[in-house]
Amino acid sequence: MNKKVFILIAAFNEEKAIGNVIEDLHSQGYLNIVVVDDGSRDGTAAEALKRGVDVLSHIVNRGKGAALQTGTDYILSKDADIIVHFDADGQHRAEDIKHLIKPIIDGSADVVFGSRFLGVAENIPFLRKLLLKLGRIYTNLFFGAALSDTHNGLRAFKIDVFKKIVLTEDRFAYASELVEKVIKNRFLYREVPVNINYSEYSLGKGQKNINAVSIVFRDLKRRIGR
Amino acid sequence: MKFQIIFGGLVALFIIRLFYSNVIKGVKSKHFLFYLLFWISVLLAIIFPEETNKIARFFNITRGADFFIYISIIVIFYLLFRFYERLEKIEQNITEIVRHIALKERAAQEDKGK
Repeated sequence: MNKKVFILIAAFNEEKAIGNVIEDLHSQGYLNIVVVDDGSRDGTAAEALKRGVDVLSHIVNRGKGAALQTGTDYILSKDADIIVHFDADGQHRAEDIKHLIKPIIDGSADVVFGSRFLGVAENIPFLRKLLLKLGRIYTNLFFGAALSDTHNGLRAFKIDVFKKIVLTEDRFAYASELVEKVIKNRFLYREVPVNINYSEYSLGKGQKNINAVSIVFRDLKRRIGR
Repeated sequence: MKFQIIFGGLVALFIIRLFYSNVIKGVKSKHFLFYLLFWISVLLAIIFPEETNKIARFFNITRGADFFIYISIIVIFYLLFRFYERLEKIEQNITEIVRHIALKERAAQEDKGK
């Protein structure tokens, strides 16, 4: 059975990378691509439109979580079967997607998280690696999840998941919110190894290590607020 | 004594300004009465420091000034948290609006293309 796969990309000032990302996806046969331009001040949207993908634009920057939710709302109206989150900065490889969606297609999972610690991660800076390891211990304790990589932007979901889950965190804490809600709603999840390209470019654009503090704070707030 | 003159004078100016903008100029601040009562209490506390000590001793705190500071800190934290929550709500609202616009514009594009 042929499942309709939508690739969702949240992009902020990625005019230099977005073109290659889209071409990479096209070369692997993924034609349903949605790019959410999160208030970019460069030509990100134009570059995406040039390659014929669906582009939604936030008039001001709201954060990756917000951008993904906007894209999700859009895709929910499009008769999709599977949504794949994919980064705009070139850190992800389109060839990993088939491994991500396989468990969903054969019904053994509703959600598949890509993990850079199960696969080959080239050039992770030591401090980042340490922080990610600590982050995973934190997430596993806090959410009761058995995940090795909780803040990886490469994920695949059965569309039904987003009929139940809405992201309320606009910025980086969305990743833990997502894990929390997947578990709370008892969706079947697994992890699959993926390869991440760390380059000077993508590291400069990515999260700052200090964001970890803000994420923990917001997670606590959400948990205690229930 | 110096303290009372300088700060008392400052607060007196605040009170005068309150009256000026609300009564004379007619700009009706919603919380005029509250601000007025607040600053008058502050003025009284400055002019009659011994009275504040009496209040403080009721709570077993020796100095009026200490008591005032404890209260202020609690109130300030409370207000801070309230502000933080308001900010959160505003951010959520902004995202909702931005999302709405994004989806609407996209729908319009698609209609045009058809």
